Amino acid sequence: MYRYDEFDRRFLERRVAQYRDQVRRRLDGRLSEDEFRPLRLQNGLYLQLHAYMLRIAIPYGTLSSAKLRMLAHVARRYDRGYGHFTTRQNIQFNWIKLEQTPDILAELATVELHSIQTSGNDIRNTTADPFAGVAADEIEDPRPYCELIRQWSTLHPEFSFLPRKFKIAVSAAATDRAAVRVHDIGLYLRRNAAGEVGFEVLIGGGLGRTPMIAKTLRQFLPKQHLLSYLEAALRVYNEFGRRDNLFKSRIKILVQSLGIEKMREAVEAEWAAMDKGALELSPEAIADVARHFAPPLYAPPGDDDEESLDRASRANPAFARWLERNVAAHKAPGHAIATISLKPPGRSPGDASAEQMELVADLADAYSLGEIRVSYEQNLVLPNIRRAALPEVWQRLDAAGLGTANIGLASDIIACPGLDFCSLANARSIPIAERLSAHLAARDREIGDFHIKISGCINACGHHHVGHIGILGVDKNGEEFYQITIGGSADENAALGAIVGPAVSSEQVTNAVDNLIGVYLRLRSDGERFPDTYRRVGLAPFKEALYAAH
Amino acid sequence: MPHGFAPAATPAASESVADAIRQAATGNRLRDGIPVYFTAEGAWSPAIDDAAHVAGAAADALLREAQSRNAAATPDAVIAPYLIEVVDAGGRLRPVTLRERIRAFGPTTRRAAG
Amino acid sequence: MPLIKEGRVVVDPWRHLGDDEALRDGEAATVSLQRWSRDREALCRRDGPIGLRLPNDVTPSTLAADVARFALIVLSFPRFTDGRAYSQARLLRSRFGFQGELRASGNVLRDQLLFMRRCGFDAFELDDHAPVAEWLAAFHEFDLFYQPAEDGSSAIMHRRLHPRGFV
Repeated sequence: MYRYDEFDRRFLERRVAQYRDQVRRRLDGRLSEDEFRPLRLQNGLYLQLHAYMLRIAIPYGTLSSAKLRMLAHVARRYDRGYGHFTTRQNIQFNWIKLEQTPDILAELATVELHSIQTSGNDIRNTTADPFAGVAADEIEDPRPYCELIRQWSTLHPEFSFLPRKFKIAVSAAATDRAAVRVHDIGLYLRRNAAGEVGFEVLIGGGLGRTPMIAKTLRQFLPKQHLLSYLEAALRVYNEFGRRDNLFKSRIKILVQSLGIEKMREAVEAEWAAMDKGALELSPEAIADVARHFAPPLYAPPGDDDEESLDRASRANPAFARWLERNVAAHKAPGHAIATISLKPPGRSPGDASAEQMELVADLADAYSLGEIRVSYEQNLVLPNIRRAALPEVWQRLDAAGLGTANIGLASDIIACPGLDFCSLANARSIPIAERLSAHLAARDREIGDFHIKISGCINACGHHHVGHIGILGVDKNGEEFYQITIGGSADENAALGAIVGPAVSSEQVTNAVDNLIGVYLRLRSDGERFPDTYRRVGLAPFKEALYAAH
Repeated sequence: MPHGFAPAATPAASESVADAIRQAATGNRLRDGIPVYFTAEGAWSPAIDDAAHVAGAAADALLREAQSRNAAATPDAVIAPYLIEVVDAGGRLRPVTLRERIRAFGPTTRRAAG
Repeated sequence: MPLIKEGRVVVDPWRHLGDDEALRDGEAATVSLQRWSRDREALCRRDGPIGLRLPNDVTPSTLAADVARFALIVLSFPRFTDGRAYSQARLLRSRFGFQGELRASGNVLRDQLLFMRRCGFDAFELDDHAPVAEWLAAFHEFDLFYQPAEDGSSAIMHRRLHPRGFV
C-alpha cells in the first residue's frame, strides 16, 4: 500500500499543528463555535448527541496492521474500547473529547492516518472495491488512481468550500463492490477496444433526500487525463452548484436540472479550455504510485492445499459454511480473500472492539501480508490468505466473535448509527438491526443473498435506498416509524428501492420484513436472486403482503 | 438500564401531560461534548436530575439565564444552550422526547464488544 | 477596511464607487460590473487606475477581453461557505492572465487565507477588529502543498506527476 515519504509526513505534521492551534483558539474563546465548526468538520470532528464523534479516513479502505493497531489504541485510550466502521470505509469513534483531539491526530499521524476532509463541503475519502488488487475479476488495481485522487484533493484550495460534500468511488472489476453508481462521481476502470486503460466517468449519483443513480458523463477517459477531468467537473460544480438550499446542493441536483447533455458540455468545455499539462498523469507518474501497490510475491500453492482444506470443511460444518460464504476468489493461485463479518446476529453492525481490531491486525501479519481492507458494508477483509491457512484463520476469528458466516446474507445488515448516536437522526436504527439480524440469522441460508439496509434519517448513511429491503426511520408525532422500500441495489445494476406503503411502527418491522421475505421465497424460481424476482413480479405482491392484511 | 428510560415509549397517556411538562435548559459542553443541564445554582451538571426546571412562562428567563452563565469563553463553556421538555417523575426528571432521553441516559444498543 | 498585502497590513488606497458617483481625476477607483458595462468607453479613456468589483456568480470569461485594463479586481465571499470566488480567482490568473491585484472581500476568515492565496489572491480584506499577527501567521501554516495552484508555490505533485521534468 502507499507509504508516506518525507513530504507526506511533514504535510501531515503541519496539518496536526494547524488543528492544534485551532482547538486552542476555540477553547480560549478567540474562535466562536460558528467560526470553529467548519474547521473541525474539515478534520472530521462532529458534535453528536453524547460527545464529539471523530471520523478517521481509511483511504480507499486499505489498512496496514500498524494502522489497525493504532485504531485499537485510540479506541482504548480515547474512547470506550471500540470503533465503528462506516459505509464510506472510514472508522468513527463516538465518545471523543475535543480537548484530546489534537493528541489523537498527532498519534494517528505517526502511522500515516488522518481525518482530513472526512466531513465538510469538500472532497471526501475516495472509496474503492475492498477487493482491489486481489480480486479475480479485476482489470487492474484501481488504488494507485485512488491515491492520486487523494493527493490531488487534499486541501485543494479551490474545492474546500463547495456547495456541498463530494464523494468519489472507484471500481475496476466486473462486479461493483464499491456502490459506484450512487456517488457524486463514480469511476469504472476499463480497457477500451485498443486495450488501453481508462475510466468510464459517471456523475450525479447519490442517496439522501433525492436519491439518484449516476449517469455516464464520459464513456471512456484515457487514464492520463483522470485528474484534469475531475478538476474540470469540480470547477463546474463549484461554479454552478446550488448554494441557496441545503437540500438541493449536491451535484446530482445540478445534473438533474441541466440534464446530462448540458452537464457534459459544460465539463468538456471547461476541460478543453484548461491547461491540462499540470495534472496530466505521465506513465512514469502512474508507475511510481503503482509501485506502492505492486502485488507481493505470492507463495505457490502446496500440492495438498485443497485436500487439507477439504478435510477441514468436512470435519467442521461451521467452518465449511464460513468458507462457502465469506471467502472469495483471489487472482493468485492458492490464495483467497476472506471477509470478516462485523455483524454477529443481535449486535451493533460494523463495530469492532479494540481487542478484535488487534486480533485482526495479528492475523493480517501472520496470514495476509500485513494488509486489511474495510468494505462499505461495514465488514473487514483479509485480502491475501493462503487457502491452506483458512481453517486456522477461521478458528482464531471464531474464538473472538468474528467468525459469523453471513456475508451478503439477510443478517449481514448495514445500519447507520441512528438516533442512539447521531444528532441528525429521526429514529433509531441499531436496535432494529439487532432485532432483525437475531431474528433472521437462522434462516440466512434458506433465504440466500439478501441485503437489508437501515437508515435513521433521510440522509441515508445506511444506504436504505439501495437495499433489497430498505428501512428508513422517521419521526411521526414523536414516535419512531419505519418506512420500508424494496428492490434497491448498489452494484453495477444499481437501482433505487420503491416505497412499499405507509410506514410501520417499530414493533411491526420484524413482521413486515418476514412477510416481504416470505413473498420472495414463495415466488422465486430456482436460485433466483431477489433483484431478479422483484424485476419479474413487480411491487404488487409485496405491497399486498404488507398491507392487505390491515 | 439507566433509570427512567423506557425505549420507544412516549409520555404515558395517563399522565396529565400539559400540567406535568416543565422546561429545562441543556447544551453540550465545549471541551468534551457531553450533554449538561443548567442547575438552579447557575452551574452546569451532566446529571439531568440536577437540572432546574420551570413551568411555561418562566422558560424563556431560564434559557436567558443559562445563556448568560455561559458567556465565559473557557473550556467549560457550553455550546448553544436550548430548552427541552421534561416531566418530573417523583423527583427524577425524564425528557419528553426520545432524542433527549437518549442524550440524558445513553444509547439503547447492545454493544458488539466481542 | 484594512488590507493584508505582501505580508503586512496596509490602508486601502482605492475608492469603491457607487454606480452614479463621479470619478475624480487620476484616482484609483473600483466600479461595479454594471457600471463597467454601462460606462466602459469613458472608463477606458480616463487616466487613473480602474478596478472592477466582480460578483461571485458571474463567470470570469465575461471579462476576458478587458482583464488587462484592470489594476484591481475585487472578488466576493458573501458568506465564507460560498467558495465560488476561489474558482473565479484561479481562472482570472491562469486562463485570462490577470496580473493586477486580486482582492478577497466579504466574509473572509483567517483560516481561509492560505487557500485564497493559493488560488491567486494577493490582497485580503481584514476585519477592523481582527488580530493582525494571528491573521498574518495563517499564511505560514503550510509550506508544503500537494496540488498545483496559482500562486507559484511548489507542489509535490509537480514532481510526482512529472518525474522526468515538466515540459
